[in-house]
Amino acid sequence: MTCVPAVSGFKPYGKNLSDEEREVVFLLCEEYESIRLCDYERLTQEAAAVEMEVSRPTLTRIYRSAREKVAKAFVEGRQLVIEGGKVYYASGWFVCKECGSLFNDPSGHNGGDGCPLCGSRSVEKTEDGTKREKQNEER
Amino acid sequence: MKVAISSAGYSPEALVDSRFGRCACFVVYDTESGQRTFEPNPYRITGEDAALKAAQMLLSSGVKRVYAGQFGIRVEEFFQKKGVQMVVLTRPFVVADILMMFEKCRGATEQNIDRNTRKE
Ligand SMILES: [Zn+2]
Repeated sequence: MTCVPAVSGFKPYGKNLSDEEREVVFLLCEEYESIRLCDYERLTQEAAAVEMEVSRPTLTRIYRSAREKVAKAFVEGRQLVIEGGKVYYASGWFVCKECGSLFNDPSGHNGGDGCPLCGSRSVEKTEDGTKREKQNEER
Repeated sequence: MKVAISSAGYSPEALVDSRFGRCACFVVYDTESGQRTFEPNPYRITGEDAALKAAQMLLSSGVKRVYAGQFGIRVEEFFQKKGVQMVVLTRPFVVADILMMFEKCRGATEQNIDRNTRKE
């Protein structure tokens, strides 16, 4: 993936807030790349998916998230920070309520085997089935 | 079952490396025998495909579950496709913490393996 943004972020002006007061919007490397390919290079989503070596549904997810974040930064006047490559999990992700680990479950038991780290049975599906929301919350 | 932990160094006191493909080495742990070995990650300083190559290496050595702070997008797709379990640690751990938890819930893990085997 070619992810070399020209800058590492954007700051709003016309608003007298300290950095601490501003909740930063983190734009992931893949998200930046999806906007660059789809909107700047004007590729189709199919072509952008090929370029990024991801499946088409994954690209769509990344791109949608990217636009939501950019919109949030614009509308709410937030700093936008472009980050290094992160993760976009397709589906079937679980979170352990004991230790906070996230995991997928290829066994097909829907997390029923418990947490693969601490062994706790107190696990649940992540809110949208992916790891994304959780990861952002924790920043 | 063989599991692997991304480690920042060759010691149980090393931190679990947050970047799967760039970690110094992998701690490969056998949940049945409790044996562990430190395997170097030969791809940690190579180019773009480092993470994917490391993933392939682990897969071909029979690893069924991998622990790291994060997995790259292509590695995630690869592991999903190959049925490898990924465990994303959301807090910093040292390798010894993880090994201790393995020991603690080895009984429970063995039950799970039995169930998996029966299912297959
Ligand atoms: Zn847990």
